[in-house]
Amino acid sequence: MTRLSMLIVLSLVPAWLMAAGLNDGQPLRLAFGTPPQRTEPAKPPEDATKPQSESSAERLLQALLAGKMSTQQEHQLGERIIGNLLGVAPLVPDDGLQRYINQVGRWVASQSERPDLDWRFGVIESEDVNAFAAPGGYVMVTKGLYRRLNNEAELAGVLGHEIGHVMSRHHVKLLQRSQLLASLSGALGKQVSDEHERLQSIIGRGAEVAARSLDKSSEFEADRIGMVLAARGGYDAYGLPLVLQEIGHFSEKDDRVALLFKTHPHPDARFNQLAEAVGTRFDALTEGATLESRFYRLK
Amino acid sequence: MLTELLRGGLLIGLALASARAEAVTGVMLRDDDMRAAAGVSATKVALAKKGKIINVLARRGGWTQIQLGTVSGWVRLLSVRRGPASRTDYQGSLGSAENAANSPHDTGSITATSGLRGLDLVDLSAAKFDAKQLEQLERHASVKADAMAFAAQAGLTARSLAYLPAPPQNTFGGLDVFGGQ
Repeated sequence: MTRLSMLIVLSLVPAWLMAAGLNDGQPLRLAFGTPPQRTEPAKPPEDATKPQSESSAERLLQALLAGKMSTQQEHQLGERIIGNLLGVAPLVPDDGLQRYINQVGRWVASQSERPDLDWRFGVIESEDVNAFAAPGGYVMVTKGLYRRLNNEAELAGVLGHEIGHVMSRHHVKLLQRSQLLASLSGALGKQVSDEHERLQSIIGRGAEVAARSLDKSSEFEADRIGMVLAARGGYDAYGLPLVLQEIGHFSEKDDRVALLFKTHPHPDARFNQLAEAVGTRFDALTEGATLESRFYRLK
Repeated sequence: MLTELLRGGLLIGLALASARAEAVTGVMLRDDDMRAAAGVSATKVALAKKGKIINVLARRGGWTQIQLGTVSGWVRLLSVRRGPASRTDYQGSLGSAENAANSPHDTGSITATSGLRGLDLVDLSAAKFDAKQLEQLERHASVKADAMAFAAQAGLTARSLAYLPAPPQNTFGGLDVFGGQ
């Protein structure tokens, strides 16, 4: 969901830059940042729009360009992106639903190689069929996609896909590429003295980073990770491909899937890729739980 | 007596025809052995070739029961994609030209446009930071111990499973048909 979108920048990335060690075409090597010390949900800052320090955005940019962002910097970047996204698509006002998706998501994320990130999950007010991930552990699912799910295992698979993006730092690498291009064009940080604006300039306008396309190999990789993470958590491994199968039946003219189809390989192609990746590997896998009865239904 | 038998036969025939009409169709994405039961140890009853249009009858774990002509059997769940065949199924080596020509593409159950406007680049670009919403998000966060207890309530236990390697490139030719990137 998947369901999450990246078009403009990648189409501009010159081949030589992709070849200079920034190509995501190969399976990504996982880097493990220092786990955050915080184990409880953080209290929100008194004014989250203010930068943490006068030079934090500049340090973040340098770390991004150098490919050495800390976990805290990833979280700072993700917080900005998700804060913007929530400005256009707020959380569904249902405490039970929001608690539920955080419990499921945190359990699935616990099966990943980055279990100690400050993971945050939410269902947002949008009839779009989509899901979004942001650096540092942020995952949002639209109400339109959530409504299509039949059980907890399918939710686990969708969340697993987004967790896969965070785990493999796909969006960090996307932003790194765009900032490198900006630095080459001399546009980086131009005429921006305000810290708040500088942080915003890294991610682009508003939450438009959510409408950029990752490369297909990153999406396929996130699908494979999502399926495995759900299965590791004891869920039915097939939740994600079954959701893809369902979404694949949408008309390409349907506005609810326009962004998803624009920024992702078609769900049918993703299903096919998953099928090919699994092959006979799950033949001995014991049946997982679907937990249809516990699945939290939208009110 | 004869009339009753004929009537009974007619009713059974109508019921079968109705069940057939309601059966979900699917397409074989690869060759797979049809087996008498769900599992690799079950007896092989037939071979379902990739590209074949089949009826999907049931599901059990990673297996699905299909009907191909007059034969029914179990194949791997991911060997079949339910619903009408997709254009991507007929690129490269998948499927026959005959099947492709007869394929009712894009006639699935969700073809009507909703009339609802989805998120678009304009909306997202104009988005303004919402600190209060972010506070709400923080308020619902779950810590690891909470998530573990939640999983245990439903009997979920963690298990080991290796990540899946990427399949060879261009296994399914034609991925670009819908790529849109």
